[in-house]
Amino acid sequence: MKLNFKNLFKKKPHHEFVEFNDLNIEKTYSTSDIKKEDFNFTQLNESIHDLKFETKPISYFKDCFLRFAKNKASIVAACVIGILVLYAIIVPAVDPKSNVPASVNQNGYQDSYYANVIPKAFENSGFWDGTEIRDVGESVYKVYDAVDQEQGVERKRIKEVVDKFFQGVTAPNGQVISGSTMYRVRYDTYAVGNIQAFRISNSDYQRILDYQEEHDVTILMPLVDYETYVNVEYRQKLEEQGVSSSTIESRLTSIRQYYVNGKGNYWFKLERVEGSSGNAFVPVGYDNNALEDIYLRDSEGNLVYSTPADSNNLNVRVNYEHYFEFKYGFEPTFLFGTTNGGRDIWTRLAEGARFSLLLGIGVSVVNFIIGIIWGSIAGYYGGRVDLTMERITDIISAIPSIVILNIVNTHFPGNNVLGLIVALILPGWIGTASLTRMQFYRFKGQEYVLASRTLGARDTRLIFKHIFPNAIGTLVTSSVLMIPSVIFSESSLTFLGIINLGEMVSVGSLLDEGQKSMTTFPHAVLFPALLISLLMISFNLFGNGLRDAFNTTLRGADN
Amino acid sequence: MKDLKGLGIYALKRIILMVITFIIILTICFVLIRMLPLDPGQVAPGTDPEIFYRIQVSLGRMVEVNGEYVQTPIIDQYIRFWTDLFAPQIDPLTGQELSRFGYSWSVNSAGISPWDVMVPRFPPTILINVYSMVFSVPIGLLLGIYMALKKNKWQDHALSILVMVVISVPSFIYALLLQVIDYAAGTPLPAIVAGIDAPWVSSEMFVAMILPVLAMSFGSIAGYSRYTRAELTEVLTSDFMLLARTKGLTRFQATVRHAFRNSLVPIFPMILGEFISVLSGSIVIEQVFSIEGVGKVFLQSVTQKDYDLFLFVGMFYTIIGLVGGLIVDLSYGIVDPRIRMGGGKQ
Repeated sequence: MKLNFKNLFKKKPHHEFVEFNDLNIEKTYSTSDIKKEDFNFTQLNESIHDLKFETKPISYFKDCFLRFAKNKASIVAACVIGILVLYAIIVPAVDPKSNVPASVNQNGYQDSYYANVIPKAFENSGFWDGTEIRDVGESVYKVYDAVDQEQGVERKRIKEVVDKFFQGVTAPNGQVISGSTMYRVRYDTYAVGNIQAFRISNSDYQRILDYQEEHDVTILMPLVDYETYVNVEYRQKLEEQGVSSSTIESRLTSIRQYYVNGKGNYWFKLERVEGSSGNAFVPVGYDNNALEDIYLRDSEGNLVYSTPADSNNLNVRVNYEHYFEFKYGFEPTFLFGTTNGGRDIWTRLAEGARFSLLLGIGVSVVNFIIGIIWGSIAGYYGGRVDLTMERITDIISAIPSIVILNIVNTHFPGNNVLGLIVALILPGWIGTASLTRMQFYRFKGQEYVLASRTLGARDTRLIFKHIFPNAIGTLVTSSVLMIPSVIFSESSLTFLGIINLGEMVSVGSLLDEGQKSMTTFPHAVLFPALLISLLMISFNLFGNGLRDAFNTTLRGADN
Repeated sequence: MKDLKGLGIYALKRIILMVITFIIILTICFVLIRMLPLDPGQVAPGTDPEIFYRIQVSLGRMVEVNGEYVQTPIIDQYIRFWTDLFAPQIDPLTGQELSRFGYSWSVNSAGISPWDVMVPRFPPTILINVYSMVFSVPIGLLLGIYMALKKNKWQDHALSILVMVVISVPSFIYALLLQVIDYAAGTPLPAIVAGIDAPWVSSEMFVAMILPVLAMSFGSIAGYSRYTRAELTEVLTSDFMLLARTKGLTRFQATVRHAFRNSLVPIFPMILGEFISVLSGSIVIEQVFSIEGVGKVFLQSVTQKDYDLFLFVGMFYTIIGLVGGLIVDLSYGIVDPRIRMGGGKQ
């Protein structure tokens, strides 16, 4: 056995040796076999240089960009940010709703008649068309339908009747105690109808007449005179029914109030009926299809379109949709609906996004600059300088920023934006500073820095030429990630009402505004919420993509 | 034992530093707040100016000069502040002890000590935060472990995107959306906690608190799971994991005994830090759901210019932050004996 093993081990070298010997024997050359003509010079009259790279060199930033481009989520996020930025820049600049002159409305576009309307993008499509499903009682349905029947009303309140059902209260034994017919209708929130008691100046009246002729629309509607009907005819009717005089007065007050709530839309006679589920007002003659109008007529029986309010003004009744176009120059169509106060959410949101983005980017830039200066000094010089500066940042970072914010706000009561900026910057730069400091500690001890120092480079050259460029990627990434956090703080503060921006608008204040009518009109909250979520998500994704791209330790990890 | 002694010295150093930091912050805030004018019409609108001025005089903040009240120098007020803190003086008119922390005028127009304002606000705040933690810590950790084990598979990618989205959306958006959904569903759950009349720890109160707890939990769950995933994936690729598998441990044993324990080293202090901040509460959530908690008091003091209450709550927040940071730092050394806090360069 032992011998066998030895042979095994020895076999290979022995074999190689044989081969080598064979080679030597078979191919032996002597110098005399090589002819001089077989040789030529590679270069004779030129000196040798290093050749240029035939491929293009990849710089650090190009490498980062290539890696960033591989991250699909970040690319999508960057596109979303781009779209949002364009939205925030273009819409407030171009959209007429954002550029209503102060001569028309003091504080930009705001119209209380179109308050809380539902988002509308596609007319008559059944989806996103400003209509909503409402359940209304029979009497309300009749009134709405009667309003729609007026001559010259183009936009009907009731688009369609989806369902008609009986809603009753049943006793435990199954017997229906009381109930009423309900109509499930598709209600158009844009049907504001005809507004009465509208006061306009004589010159405006003339302009409206010109506009009517020019555009072939009817703005001015015949005036309605419910007072005469209520005080004479309705009173007489009640007296005939034998209602006591004190009850008559309260009945008259309530029907008058009902006409006032209609804002001039009720052009027909109303009467009180006692139904099984309470009393209600219904149009006279609705069931026979013979509505009776209460238009104001002059002595000759002609319809009256205006009455003088005082020497300069007239009372008119207008088709508000057309009057709106006449007044503002654009159609009352609101892509995202309007707020409780009648402001357009689409343009307000763009203005809010503009404010939030400007603030986010501006604050991040300032934080970045302060942070890198502070961090470079602390990191580069180290020692006692570093220790002192660290203690100062410790103290500043321990102060709750909301305390600072409030103190600044109370010292400058007129301008809350200043307090906001101070409160965001004061603790905001500390993150960048400590990051810069870390990067400086990392690079300043490295050999290339030492070499440069030995060659006599000054501090500024070492900092800006050798250390800083190595750290710039990480620092830029951190400041990109700072933008969403600034926007988050700002929107929380304005949402809570700690910051009052006054005339300016931010996404947070829009959320606060929308919260007031949230229970019935959730769209006023949903769109701002969607925008800020989108903004935060895409900035975070974008920042994370940048971080991965700039992180040199990950280079080649995914290949 | 030597390590523990080192930790003790380090802790002592940090506590002294913390106290110094706190005193500096207190001084800065004190000076800035006391520089503000004390106009009873603005600061205490519901209070009789005579009572207001009398208390300010007895607190040493104002003096009467020719029938007008002027503020005393801030340095005098500062000295008086510290003496009052340890030895409150007696009100010469009523014979009662003056409050150590000044008076809040917005909560009670007769003036009430900020201490008395704060104490009843703790139960709801702590309860909501604890419920939220009880939800979010286990779910977050489990999700994180699952993601780490399924690393770079579709489950991981899907969950990572979800976590990214959830972490980015601010918590007040969840609060609002939950309320919208709640109203749209015909209010099966109470949307406001303030109106519930039940003991704090009871099922009715728990039901009432579900929405705020959920609103707070989403972000935390996402945060924990992202952090756990990052830590665990790093540990799972270490060499000792390979060794554990080679010596015959199953994947489950190796993950639970070696990987998870090690990944907990940075996660545990994070949970601890969150646990301390339970006291401070969430201003936004408490505002949206009308919870009479600590955050709401702070908001009230801010919006109603209640300076003494504001200073008190603000300093309370500062202390929470400082103590939280200290405990988190110290816990690193306790959780993982390999980490020596405050050690030298060796």
